Amino acid sequence: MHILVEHKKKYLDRRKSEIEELKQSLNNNDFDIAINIGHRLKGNGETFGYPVISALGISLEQAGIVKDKEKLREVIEQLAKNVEQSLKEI
Amino acid sequence: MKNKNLSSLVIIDDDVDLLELLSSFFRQRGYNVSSYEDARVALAEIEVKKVTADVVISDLKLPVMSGLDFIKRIRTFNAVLPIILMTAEGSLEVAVEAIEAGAYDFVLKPLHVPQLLISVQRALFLNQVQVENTNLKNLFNEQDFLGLKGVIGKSPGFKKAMELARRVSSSQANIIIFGESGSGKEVIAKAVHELGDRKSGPFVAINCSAIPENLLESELFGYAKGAFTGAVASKIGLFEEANKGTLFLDEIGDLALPLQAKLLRVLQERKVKRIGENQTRDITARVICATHKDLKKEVEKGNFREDLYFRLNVIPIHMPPLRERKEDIIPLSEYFLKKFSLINNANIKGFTKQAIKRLETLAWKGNVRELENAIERAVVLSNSEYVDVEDLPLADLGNEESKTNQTETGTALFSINSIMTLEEVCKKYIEFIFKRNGFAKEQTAKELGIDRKTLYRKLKELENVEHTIQ
Repeated sequence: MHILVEHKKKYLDRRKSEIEELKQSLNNNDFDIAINIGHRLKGNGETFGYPVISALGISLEQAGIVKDKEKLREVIEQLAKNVEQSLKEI
Repeated sequence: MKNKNLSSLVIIDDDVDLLELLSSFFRQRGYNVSSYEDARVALAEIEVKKVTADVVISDLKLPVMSGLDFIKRIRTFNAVLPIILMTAEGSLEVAVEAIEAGAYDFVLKPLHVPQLLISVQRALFLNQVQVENTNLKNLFNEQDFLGLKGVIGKSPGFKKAMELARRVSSSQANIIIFGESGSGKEVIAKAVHELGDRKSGPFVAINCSAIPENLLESELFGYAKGAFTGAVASKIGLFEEANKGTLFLDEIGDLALPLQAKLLRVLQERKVKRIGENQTRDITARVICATHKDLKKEVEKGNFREDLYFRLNVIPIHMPPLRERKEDIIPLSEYFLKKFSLINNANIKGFTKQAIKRLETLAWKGNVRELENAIERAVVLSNSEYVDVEDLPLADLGNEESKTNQTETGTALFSINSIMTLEEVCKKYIEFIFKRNGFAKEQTAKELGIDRKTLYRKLKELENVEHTIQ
């Protein structure tokens, strides 16, 4: 299915602000935010044409459940890079 | 399909990105979309009908009220609304739980939106079928005269006939119903059956004029295996089939004399013998007969046995023709309009004033059957929400007797007295066959070698031709 550019851009912009929220929650040891955001990304990334974001969402949710801060930091970093790259490609 | 409205979708998801994407996708395809992040708000608005929902798409995992809880609450006041659940939790257990709770379908995230569209289309189709089914059930469950379904009439003549039917329903006396073709003799017979103590038994009807004599005998009495060529197995007759119920013999006046003698014996002895058998069997069916003929005259002419006439004529019920009970025309028309609108999925709301006037002034020589056919045809052909005068029969076919010749046996001959155009000949011929068959559309179409829809179209075209000629 063809997704309009405006939808894609809006989607990626929202991810950027979520990444900031994730970093903040990590500093506060709040793992619920990572679980919720990860679950959502798992469900919507591929629909918008970003299967990697869906895969990172799965990792984020799982790392949040086991409270693995290192893994979370790593996944958030990968997510940030992927979102920036995807924005450039639009 | 007429006046099809836009289908309404309710989409619930706390994922704003998906909510926006799906709303945009379905709106582009002509759907009315209402979107919600909170299932409780959607539930409240659906319940008070603030929002219309033909199908709901909801996420399973939602804050405060989950998709499953949403379904359970919806089902307390709407048993049929199709709900499609979306989830990123792709386990079989969750899917089973969702379907058991009343979900119509279950789609996995990440969503494949075209697949979701197919699911929505199928759900809409299901919803439409369910709504139509409910409407049809309601129509046919409507309790009308004497609490009987689909028995409609308020004229004194109709009420008198029905009242007599009610009074004799619990007796064992033979009943014969007199009335013109299409006047509703079978309705009376069914009323007798339904109102009496045999209503839990079968109601078996047969038209004696529609079946050749030899076949009719085997139909009525049954036969033993090997009784004649082709009797490869034994068969019970209608007298036995109607045991503990009612056997309705329509057009008894057309019964051949040899069969009249056999019928008389069955009525006297209450026993039947299958063709090719010596054994007699008791019958418990009540026999109700009907005819459009004047049986007394038929007796005088030697066409009907006098002893059978007296045997049958214990309680005569006369069903008046429709022209003598004009008060019934509009209630019947409204009933048929509702029935055929539902069957044809046409959104027709009623009749214009001119159409009502036309309905009331036509002679309806073909009686209720002709009226029913006319309304069905009007529903099929009407282009607006109200049946107008041009959708109804232009000429009163029943009044055109002078244009056909009648032989003594009642078989009409088609005659052309002057040079006519091909269209005029076609029109006259179709009208002639239609009338000869008592306005029975199936039989007319069959004889003309066309299907019923083609018959309607031809009649409509021919009416237009007549307008042009005039």
